[in-house]
Amino acid sequence: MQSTPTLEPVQNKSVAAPRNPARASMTAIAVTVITGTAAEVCVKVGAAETAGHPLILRWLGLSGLESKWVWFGIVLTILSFLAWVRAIRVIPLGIAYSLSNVIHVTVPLSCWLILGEAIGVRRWLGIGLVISGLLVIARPFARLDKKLEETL
Amino acid sequence: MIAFLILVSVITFVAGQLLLKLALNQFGELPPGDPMRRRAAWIFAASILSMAIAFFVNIGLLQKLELSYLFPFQGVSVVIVAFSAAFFLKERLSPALIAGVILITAGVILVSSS
Repeated sequence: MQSTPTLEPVQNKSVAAPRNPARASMTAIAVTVITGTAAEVCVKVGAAETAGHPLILRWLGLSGLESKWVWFGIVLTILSFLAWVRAIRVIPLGIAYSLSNVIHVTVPLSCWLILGEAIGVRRWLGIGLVISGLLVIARPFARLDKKLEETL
Repeated sequence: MIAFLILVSVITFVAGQLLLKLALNQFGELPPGDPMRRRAAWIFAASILSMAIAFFVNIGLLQKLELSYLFPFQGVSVVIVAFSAAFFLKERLSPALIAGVILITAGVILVSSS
């Protein structure tokens, strides 16, 4: 049910191409990151809940399916995947995947802001490094955005 | 066994990403009704299968290990995706992208090791 609408825009790429493909991709990456973060947390909660449950093929973690949190995680992962398909439709995978790593900034920051977890000096340093890496990649990409805007 | 499973989860994840992008590239290039679109649909299905394997192996690993222990391997996947996309999908590997990838990887490892 969900898979057809994602294939549709791909098929009608020339017709339904968004006015600003690079910016649309950025928005899609943001949606991927938000749903992906939520999925990661749900899966971790579910995995912890079901750890040690005896089941065949234990290394596959299939016993995780007994937890509703893992199912929330699966739904969020599918949403994240649909947004990801939109994101990488027009922009190179290497750039999109690098930018999606903003998740390594959003997760500790939301733990700090929402859960009141402490962030040590090393972690702040790491967050700074990730942000600087994202800026290095996103800056030439912003120019590409402008170029795409001109051609359309 | 753990090391092998981490390797499997990283390889199936990266392969899934590459196959997905390959399928989307082909869907974008081929006109509707082209017989090659069938092949692209199979590549799309293979990418989903590959990512599904990565997803469940990852849950299996999370049942045994801390998330913070697994995170650095996701950090390394940035490097693998960027380079394998350049190699297999002929994407441009600009100096800015290489510099950014190195900074992000170093940052992710620092974030997760503290």
